[in-house]
Amino acid sequence: MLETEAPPKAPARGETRDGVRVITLTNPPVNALSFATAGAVLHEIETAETDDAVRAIVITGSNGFFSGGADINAFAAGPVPGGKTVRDLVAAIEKGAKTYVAAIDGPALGGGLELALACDYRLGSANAKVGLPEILLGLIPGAGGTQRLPRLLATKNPMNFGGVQMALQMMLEGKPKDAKPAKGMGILDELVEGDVVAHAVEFARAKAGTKNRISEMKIKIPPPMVALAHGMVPPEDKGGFAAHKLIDAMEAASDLDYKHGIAREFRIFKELVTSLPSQSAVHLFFAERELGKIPGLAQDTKPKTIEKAAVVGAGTMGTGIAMVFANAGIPVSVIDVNPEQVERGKKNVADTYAAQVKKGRLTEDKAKERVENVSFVGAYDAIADSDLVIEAVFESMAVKKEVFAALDKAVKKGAILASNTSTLDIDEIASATTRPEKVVGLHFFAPANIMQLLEVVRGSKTDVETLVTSMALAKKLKKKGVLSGNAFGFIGNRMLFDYVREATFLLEEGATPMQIDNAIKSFGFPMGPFAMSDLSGIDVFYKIAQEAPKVDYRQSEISHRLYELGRYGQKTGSGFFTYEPGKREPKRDEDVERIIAEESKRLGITRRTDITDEEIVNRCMFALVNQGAQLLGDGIALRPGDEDVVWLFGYGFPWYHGGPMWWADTIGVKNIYDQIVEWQKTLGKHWVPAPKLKEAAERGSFAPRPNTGAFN
Amino acid sequence: MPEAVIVSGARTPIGKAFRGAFNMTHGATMAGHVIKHAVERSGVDPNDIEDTVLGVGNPEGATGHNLARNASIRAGLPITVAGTTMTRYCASGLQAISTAAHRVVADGVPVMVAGGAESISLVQNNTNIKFFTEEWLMRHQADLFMPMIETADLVAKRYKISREAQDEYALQSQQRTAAAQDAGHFDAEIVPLPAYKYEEDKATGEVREVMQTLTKDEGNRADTTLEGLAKLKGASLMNPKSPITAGNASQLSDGAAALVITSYDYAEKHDLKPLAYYRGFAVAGLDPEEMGIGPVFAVPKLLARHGLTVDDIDLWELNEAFAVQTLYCRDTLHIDNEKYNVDGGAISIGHPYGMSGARMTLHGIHAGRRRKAKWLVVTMCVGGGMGAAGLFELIND
Repeated sequence: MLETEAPPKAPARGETRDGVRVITLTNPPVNALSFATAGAVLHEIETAETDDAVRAIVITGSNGFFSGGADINAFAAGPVPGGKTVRDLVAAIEKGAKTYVAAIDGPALGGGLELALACDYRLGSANAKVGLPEILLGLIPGAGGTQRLPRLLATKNPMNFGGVQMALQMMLEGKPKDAKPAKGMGILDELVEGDVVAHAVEFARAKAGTKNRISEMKIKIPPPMVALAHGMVPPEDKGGFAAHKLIDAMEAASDLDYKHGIAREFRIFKELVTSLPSQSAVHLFFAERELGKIPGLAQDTKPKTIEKAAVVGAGTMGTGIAMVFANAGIPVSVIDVNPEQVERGKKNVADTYAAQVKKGRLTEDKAKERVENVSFVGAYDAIADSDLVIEAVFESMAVKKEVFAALDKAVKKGAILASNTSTLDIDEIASATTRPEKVVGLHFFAPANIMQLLEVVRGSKTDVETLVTSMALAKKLKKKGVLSGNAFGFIGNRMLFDYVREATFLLEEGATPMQIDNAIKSFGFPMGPFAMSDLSGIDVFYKIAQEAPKVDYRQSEISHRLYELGRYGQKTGSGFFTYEPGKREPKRDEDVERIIAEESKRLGITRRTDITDEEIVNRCMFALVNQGAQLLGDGIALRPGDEDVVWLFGYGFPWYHGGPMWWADTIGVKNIYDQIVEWQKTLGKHWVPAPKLKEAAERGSFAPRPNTGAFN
Repeated sequence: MPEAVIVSGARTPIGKAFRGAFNMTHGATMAGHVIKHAVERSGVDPNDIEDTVLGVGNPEGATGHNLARNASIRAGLPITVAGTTMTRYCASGLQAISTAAHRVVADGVPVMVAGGAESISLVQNNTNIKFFTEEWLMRHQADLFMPMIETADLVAKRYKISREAQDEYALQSQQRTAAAQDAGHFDAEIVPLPAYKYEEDKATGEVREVMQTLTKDEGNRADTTLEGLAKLKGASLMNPKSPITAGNASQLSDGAAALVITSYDYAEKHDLKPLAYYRGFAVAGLDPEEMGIGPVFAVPKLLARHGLTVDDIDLWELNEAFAVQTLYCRDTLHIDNEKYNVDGGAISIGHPYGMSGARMTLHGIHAGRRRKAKWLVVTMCVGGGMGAAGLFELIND
C-alpha cells in the first residue's frame, strides 16, 4: 500500500464547514487528477470518512475548473505502481458511508465528471460544463463513466429509452454539455446562482445521511437498440474501434450489476490504452501541443497583437480567410479592385453566416456582429493601418510580387505582410518589398473558414517577432499553426505532389482512377487522389506544375492531357471522373481510361492486371513518408509530428493511423526503407530513399514510441 | 435411404460454473469455437453445410436468441448455413445429433452440424421466471417443476440405494476420469478456448476480468477419497438426511461440443474419415418425480428396435446426473460396469446440460474406437420425467 498522506504542497485541501467537509482540488491549471492529486483527494476522503464530526462531503474544484480529468501526460507515460487514480477515488466514495455532493463551478471532464458522478448529487453553476471526451483519444471512460452516466440518464429520462440515447450520444461524440442542457438531462441536480460551494454545503447538510448512489440505479437497454448503435458507428478498422467498445461497456451497465460492469469497463479501457488507434490519437494530441514550440527562438519575444487585419482578394479564399478573422473577433477589411468580385464576396460572407444561423450553430446577434467585422474596400489606402495583411490573389509569382510591392508602399511600417500562396517562394515574394523581415507565408486551406490547418511559412529573412506573432495568431484563429520552411509546396503540398505522382504512375502501369481512389479510401481517406484533383481543379495543378522546380525524372502527362481537353474536374463536369450536373459523386469515365491506356502505349508500358490495393496504398503512402523524411532532413518541417498534423487537418489522413510519419513507425520504417531501395531499382530513379528515412530505419522509428505498459 | 455418419467433433474443456473458466463466456463464443474446429477437422466444404442444430438445456439469455444460428456465424461458417436450437433439457445435445442425422437420412441433406452448449454461469440464475408455472399443472403435475436434487433424493428412498453405494460410485467416476486425463484420453476432443474470466478479490470484493486459457476439464478431483465424500452434507432442501451430496451429483458447469454429420455417400465422395454411424434414437416419458430412472425405459425401446440386447452393446455412456440414478439404471438394465462410463462422467467431469449429450457421444466414439467397440449407447435421464437413448455403430480403422 502506498501512503496516502498528503504531500507538503497538497494538490487538494479540506476544510470542515459546520459538519460538512469541503474537499477542494487545487492542482492548477485544470485540477488534473494526476497520481499526486488523486492521492491527496483520496487522503481527504478517507480522513473525512473516519471523522464523526463530518456528516457529508462536498467535492469541488478551483481556478474556474472542477477537474479536467486524468492527467494525459501521466497515463501516456504508463501506470505508476501504487499511484492513485480516479478509479481509487470513485471506489472510496462508492464504499463510503457519507453523503457526497459535487459542487461544479467550471468544466468537469473525463475523470473529473466520473468523480462527480460517483457523488450522490451534483450542483453546478452557470460555468459548469460536463463531458466524457475519452472517445476523442480512442478510449472510453475508465473510472465508472460508462456505468454511471447511462444509469443516471436512463433513470432521469425513462421515456422511450431517451436517457440511454443521450448517454450513448454524449460519450460517442465526446463533446461537453453546458450547464443548462446538463441540468435538463439530469446530470446536474441543481443549477445554482452565486456561490456554488456555499450552496452545496447547505444542500449536503440537508441531505446528510441519505444516499443516492448512481451505481444502484437500474437501466435496461434492449439488445436491438445495442445492435442499432453498433450499426451507427464506423467499422472497427475505420476509426470505430473505441466506439464499438464504448457500446459494449454501456451494454454492460444494463447487463451486469455495477461491480461486474466496472470490471468490464476497466478491462476494455486497458485494451484500448494499448490499441493502435488510441495511441495514434494520443500521438496526434501531443503533436498538436508541440506545434508552437520553435527551437532556437529567443524565449522572450512577445507576439504582437493583431487588432486590425486585411485580406487582398475577395475570391472564395480571400473571403474565407476574412471570415476566420471575423469569427475570432478581429475586424478585417477585404480589398479587391473588381467590384463584381466584391459583390460576390459580400454575398458569400452573408450567406455563410445566414446558413449557420439557420442550422442553429450561431445566434443572429453573433452572426450580425461577424458580418459587421468584415468590411470591403477598393483601395490600398483603406487598409494602411492594418497590423497584418494577407494576400490571397491568383497563384502567380508576377501577380503576387506586384501586390506585395503595392502593400509595402501603402501599409504602415512594421505591419506583417503575409501571402496565402500554397507553393510559391516566400523569399522571392518578400524581395518585392522593403520589409522582407515582416513577410511570412500564411497558407490557409480551402474552405478557409472550415479547414483547421494553417501553414506558417518562414522566409529566410522573416524575423522572430513575425514568426511568433503568426504562431500566436494561428491559436487565436483556432487553427493548427504548423511552421514550415520555404520550399516549393511547403510541407503539405510538397508531400502531396509525390503522392499524386505515384498515383499517376500507377495509372500508366495499369490501374484505373476508380481503383486507386477506392484503395486509398479503404485506407481511410475520405477521398482518393483523383477525386481530390477533380475537386481542387486539374487546371490548378497544371499551373502549379508550370512553376514547380525541375526534377530529373520523367513526369506523367495524363493530367496535362485532361487539362488540354478542358477537363478541369468538378467545375467542368469532368476530370479524372465525370460528374452529373449538381452532383459531387465521381463516376467512372471510359474516355479517361482510354486516354490512360494511350499514354501507357505511347510510353511502351505493358499494362499490368495484378495491381493490388495493398500495392496502391503502399506506393502512395511510402511516397508521402519518403518526402516527409526529405523535408525533415532539409529542415523544412521541424518534427515528424508536425507533418502528421498537416496531413490530418489539411488532407484528411485518417486519424486512427496517426498521420503518415506515425503510421510509418507503426508498420516499421525499415520495411518502408527496404521497399523504397527495391523500388529504386524496379520502378525508377524517382524513388530515392531520403537520408532521414534511412536514419529512422536504422533507429527503428521517426518518433520515440509511447510507453505501452500494462495497466493493472 | 442415406446413412448418417459422424465425421468429426470438438468440444471445449468444461469449466466450473460461476467460479470457473467460462463464468463470463457467451454461449455463441463457446459453441462458435467448437463448431469452427469440428468443421475444420472434418474436411467438409463449409458451403455444403445446410443447418446447425444445437441443443441447450435453458435456451435463453446468453444461450438464447437461436444460439445455433448465431454460433454458426460466430464460427465463421457461410451466412447460407442456417441454424435451429432445441431443448430436451439434459438430452438436448443428443437430441440435436439425432435431429441432424434425421435431416441427412430423411431429407438427403449432405452435411449438418450438431451439438450442444450450456452456460450455467450466465443463465441458470437469470432465468426468466415470469409466468414460469401454470395453475392447472401446479395442481395436477407439480413435479414437472420439482428441483432435480429432490427427484434424486426420492429415487434413493424409493429404490433403497445407500449413501455408501453412491459415494463409491462417485469415487469410481473420479478415479476413472483422473486415469483418462493422465492417459490423454480427452485430448482428441478438447480444443482450448482462451476466455476472460471473472475473478473476485475476496478482501476488497473487487471483480476483475482476467484472460486465461483452460486446456482440460477443471472439475475433476483426482484426490477424492471415500472419507472426503462421506463428510459432505446432504444437498436436499427437503430432507436433511438426504444421501445426495455435491460429491455424488453432477457438477454445475459450462461448455459446448459440436459434431459434423454427413451422409455416408458424401463422406466417401470427399474422402472423409467417418467415425461412426448414427443408428437410432428413442425417448420415453415417466413420472417427473423420478425422472432419474428414465434410461430404464428408453434403452429397451431403442435396443428392441434394432434387435439388440444389453449384452450386445460394447460401450455405454449413461449421464451421471446423480450417482443414485446412474446406479439404479446400470443395475436395473444389467449393464457390465467395465463397459460403463469407462472414463467417468458428469460427476467427475461436469454437466453443462445441453452440452452433455454431444460430449458423451463424442467421447463414446473416441473411447469406443480405442477399444475397437462396435455398438455405443448414449443415454440419459431428463428433467420433466423422460429418458433418452441413442445408438451408434462405430467405424474402426
